[in-house]
Amino acid sequence: MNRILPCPTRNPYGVACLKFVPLLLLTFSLHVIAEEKKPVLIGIEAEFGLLNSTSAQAVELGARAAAEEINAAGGVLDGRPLKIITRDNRSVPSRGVENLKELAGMPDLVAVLGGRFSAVVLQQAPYIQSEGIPFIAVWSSADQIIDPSVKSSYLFRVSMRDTLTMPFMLEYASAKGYKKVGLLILNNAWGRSNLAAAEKFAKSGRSPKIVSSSWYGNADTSFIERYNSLVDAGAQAVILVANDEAAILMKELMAVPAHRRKPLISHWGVTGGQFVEKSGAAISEIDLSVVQTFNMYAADPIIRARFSQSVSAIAGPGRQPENIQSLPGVANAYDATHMLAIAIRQAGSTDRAKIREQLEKIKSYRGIVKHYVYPFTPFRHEAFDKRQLLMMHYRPDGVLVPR
Amino acid sequence: MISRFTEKIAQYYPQRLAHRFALVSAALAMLVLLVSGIGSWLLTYSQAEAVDRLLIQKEADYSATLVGATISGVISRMDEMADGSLLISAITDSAGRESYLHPYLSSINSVNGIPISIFLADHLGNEIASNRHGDFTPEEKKWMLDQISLGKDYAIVQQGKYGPELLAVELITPPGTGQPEGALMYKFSLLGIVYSDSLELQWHGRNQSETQLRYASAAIDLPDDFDHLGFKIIAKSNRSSITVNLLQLTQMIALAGLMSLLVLYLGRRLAFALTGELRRLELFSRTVVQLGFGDARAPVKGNDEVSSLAQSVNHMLDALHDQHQKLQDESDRRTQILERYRLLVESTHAISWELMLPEYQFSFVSPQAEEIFEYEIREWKEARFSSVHLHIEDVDRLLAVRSKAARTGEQYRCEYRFRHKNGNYLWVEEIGSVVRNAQLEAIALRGIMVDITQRKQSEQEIERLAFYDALTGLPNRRFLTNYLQDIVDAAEEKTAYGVVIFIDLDNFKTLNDTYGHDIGDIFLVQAADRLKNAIRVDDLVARLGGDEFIIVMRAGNASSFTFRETVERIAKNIIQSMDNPYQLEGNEHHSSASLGVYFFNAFEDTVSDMLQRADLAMYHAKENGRNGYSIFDPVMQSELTNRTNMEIKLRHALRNHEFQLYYQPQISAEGKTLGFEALLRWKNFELGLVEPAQFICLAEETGLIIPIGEWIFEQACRKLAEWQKVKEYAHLSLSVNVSIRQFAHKNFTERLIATVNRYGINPNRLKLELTESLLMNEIESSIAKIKQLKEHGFRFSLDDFGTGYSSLSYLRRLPMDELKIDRSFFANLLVDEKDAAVVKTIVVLANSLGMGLIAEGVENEKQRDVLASYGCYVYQGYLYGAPLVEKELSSYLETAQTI
Repeated sequence: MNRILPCPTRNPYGVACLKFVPLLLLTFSLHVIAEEKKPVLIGIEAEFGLLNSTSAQAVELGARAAAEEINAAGGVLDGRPLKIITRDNRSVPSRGVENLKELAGMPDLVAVLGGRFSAVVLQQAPYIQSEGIPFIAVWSSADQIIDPSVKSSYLFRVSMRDTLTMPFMLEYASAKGYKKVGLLILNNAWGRSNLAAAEKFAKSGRSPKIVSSSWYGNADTSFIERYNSLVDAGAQAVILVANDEAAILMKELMAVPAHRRKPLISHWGVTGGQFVEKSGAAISEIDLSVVQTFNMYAADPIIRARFSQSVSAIAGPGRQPENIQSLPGVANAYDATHMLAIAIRQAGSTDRAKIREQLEKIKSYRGIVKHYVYPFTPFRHEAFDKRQLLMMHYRPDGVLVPR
Repeated sequence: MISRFTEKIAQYYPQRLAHRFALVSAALAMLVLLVSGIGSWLLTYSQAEAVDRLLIQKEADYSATLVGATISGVISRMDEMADGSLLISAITDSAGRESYLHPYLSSINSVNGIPISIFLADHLGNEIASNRHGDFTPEEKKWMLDQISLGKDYAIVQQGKYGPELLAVELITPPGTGQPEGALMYKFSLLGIVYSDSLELQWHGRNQSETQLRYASAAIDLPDDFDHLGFKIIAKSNRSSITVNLLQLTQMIALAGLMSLLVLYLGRRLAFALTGELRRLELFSRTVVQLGFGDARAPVKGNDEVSSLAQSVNHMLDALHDQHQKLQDESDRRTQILERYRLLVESTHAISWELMLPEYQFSFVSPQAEEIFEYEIREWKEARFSSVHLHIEDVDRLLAVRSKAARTGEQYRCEYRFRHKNGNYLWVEEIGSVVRNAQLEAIALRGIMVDITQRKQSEQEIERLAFYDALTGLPNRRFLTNYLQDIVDAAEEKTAYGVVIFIDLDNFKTLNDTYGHDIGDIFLVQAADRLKNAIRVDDLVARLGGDEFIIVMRAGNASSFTFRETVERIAKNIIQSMDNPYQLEGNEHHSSASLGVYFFNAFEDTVSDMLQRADLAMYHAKENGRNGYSIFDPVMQSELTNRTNMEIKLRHALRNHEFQLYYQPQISAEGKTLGFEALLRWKNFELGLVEPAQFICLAEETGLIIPIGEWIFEQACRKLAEWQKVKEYAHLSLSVNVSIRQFAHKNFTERLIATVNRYGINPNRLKLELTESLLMNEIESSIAKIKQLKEHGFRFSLDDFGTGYSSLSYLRRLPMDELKIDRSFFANLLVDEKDAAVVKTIVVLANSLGMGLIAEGVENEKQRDVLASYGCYVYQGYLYGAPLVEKELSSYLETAQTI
């Protein structure tokens, strides 16, 4: 009898052990592979569940397109793939903070991309700084999101800010010859940021006169009274700081006599949801200009081709970028994710503080929105400047094209 | 039959006239007594009872309608509010929403006259805003959170501090999300709605504890969601009409009694002479009058008219006795009720009081007043007591609230400070209402006074925590940015000027690292105190964090010249006061501060501009040697930009071959060229020729000094290797400047040796020039490294000797081969005797330590001759020509004397 193999009658456990050996080896080797390929996580904390909203989905599309490209090229940190995970805040700030806490608890999560609502990001900001999570705002534009008085801030932005956007809209109105404008503003932190920017610019002398400002709440079901008050105050054009709910105004304007239909100049908030669908025929009837930061037609052709291919691969066959809603969100998130990958590689680890530091040390990156040179420095966490601003309008088929 | 009856009466009919009078009188009196007594008793009793029942039922019905409408009114207002656009906006809003939420909620102190507490919460139950801070208990918040997680609106009735309250939660569901994202909780006291003593509110689950003499009830109609509360109203009879009528009755009977006594008396007077029996009865009547109608009864003897009169009197006395007993019982019952109220009043913590108008003098205070404020009750009732003990700052406000209440008749509430006997002020909340007389004139105020000092303290503590730094008690960053933002927001062209001073304590980190954070904290507290003392009353000092402080001063009406003078004087004061020694747990510590001053114009600047520029100025102060202040200059901003530009260019300079080495000859007294010093120049396409002073510092900070240094060694070694091949040049040495960061680099030695080996040159020909002042920072490790390199044959020269502050003992330990005398010592050699003495001393020093000497920056022959006369024989400087580029080097060497 071979003594090396334990006798089953004497030692029933021995048999069990032997049976488990190959299994153990197998689990061990699987474990090693899993360990090697453990994904590096990038979170998206945005308004996925908000009715009619498309912005969060756009951000996710852009981030995933970039992640696919990065993973196809070998991933980061010795072959670890990038993985995008999402959390839904439905535009409610307190949910945003709760989600962020959950994301922060994931050990392999290196950074978070934010959604459309400035109010959400502003509520998250103190937690972002205290917890130390690199956070890139790819849509929200309130100025206070990037607070230059905070040293070593964890908040970055690959999007436009209101201090530049609002003057741009006002100057555009001025260039169009409108001497008096009215403001129709959403009553929240984003709206206040815009009003502050407008009031500051109004002192410059380059702005048309702001005859009146009217606040609306995001549960309002009609805008026409507020609109009328602006027109009655003498506004020749109306500046909109609104999200996709402005479609209500578009429809209401259809019933307004032609001489009272003033041109609308809108912040890009309207592009964050099903604005075109909800506006219906008004989209080609009403004179609406939308400020944008991404002009796909002016993008580097090589990068545009790559971007289109990656985006279509995820969005589905036949979905070219120009028919994708909230395209700037896709583009900003795409660039932000690529820059994050650069910072991760430079940091050489998933250490969030190091990645934060390395974001400030990215030298150059050719993105779809622009060619970034030193996108962030210790003194500046804003990747965009006013050169990205341009005015667009909706073609009758609902596609945004430059003015 | 009739005749038989009259016969029988006639049989008893008194024969005597006196008896007849008495009998008739007594019979009449008794008749009046009986008829009026019994008749009125029955009539009034039944009528009063019917009216009373009708009245309280009406009151119940009416009150139920009124209370139902009032509660429904409040509920529907709250319902509207929860579904309203404003709160939905607020739920999806964040920073800054206080600006409209706070005024909105504060305006809703009451709904339809019912004081109400409102609490707006996010989906986690955290407070977003409330109209009265701290009105909701943790249990109530937890209950609200339960309702949020159950996802439904709900209401309960609970026993509050002052009686039953309705507590309800309405979920807030924005149309965009379709789910509850927050909640509106509110409560209001039902006591205020059911205002009368005669009404009581009841709801499901509450026991009726008292059995009332009389009551009626009516159900209250509420909206569907609130049906489950099952309210009903109970109206009680408290103005007992029975008692009123009994009193009247008793009066009547008393009157009748008196009348009958009168009749008896008259009868007695008439009958006195006629009968002795009647006299006895009279005597008894007198006793009864004197002693009251107790148990004593008139004696009844015989069966005559006198005895029947006595019997009648006795019956009357019995009736009177009964009525008296009933009145006594009623009086006892009343006393009991009063006692119950007294216990109620005295068992709460609130002081009950009554103030007479118009002089506001206390006419009543409950005993708690004595307990809480320690004044005796008699003191409270003194004239002017109430006004004398009020806090001066609260007087106007309280009087305004009281007189408004006296005018309008509304219940009022006011929080104010009232002086305790020990001199301290306690915070109290006064809830009162006005008392009017029959002419509807306000004659008094009546109400309660609650000690809320603790609540006030915790409110203040909360504010302090949010806006003040816990360690130093100074305003924190949040307070500061709000304050500056207010200045910016309120800025008008004339009043927009002021200054932001950024203060950074020098070397604070070292103190913290050396002595630990506890000592660091003590130091910060003392520093903060000094700052507080240095500023003017209206100025603000805040702690930005760590060792950074900010002072904000407004120019006000001061002219820019005087304001600037004031600011500079204060800045100097601060620097001076921070420079004084600190006592830290027995150790004396010296420190200093660097100040950045930015004069702002809030009309143009933003808050971050102000802070950033003051910060920038502070860095300049630091760069200028600390312990001083620097005023922001637009140049600083552009310097920063320039620096960033330069950094980018510097990074590309090596790759673009923009660096160049210049060679300055070193000449012996005999005119022989002994070697050269290699000097680095940077020639940039845009910047032109850049001096090392301008970029070396930047290169050190950015670490670029390492590759640049290696490039220099590479060039130097290549040059030496070239010379080594030519016999006449083989002895030439080359001095290379080594920056301290480069020298301190861990691979410096290995790489240098590797480079030298690669070119196969004699390390002896390479002279490394180190700067004295820089070496002093890490003297021990530097000495070790120098020794190590000397073992490999390298030589060392001490650059800029004499400009640092090195002690001679260090110099002795530094194994240098050569001292380099700085030009500053002999530039004035011909005129300044002190300089001459220094140079002489350096020469003696070098000789005694066995070091070589070289003077750099020699410009003319006179200087050279004097240096030679002191014993310095090697020179470098413009006397022998400007530094040469590489191309010029060979032609120079061809003509120069090298051997």
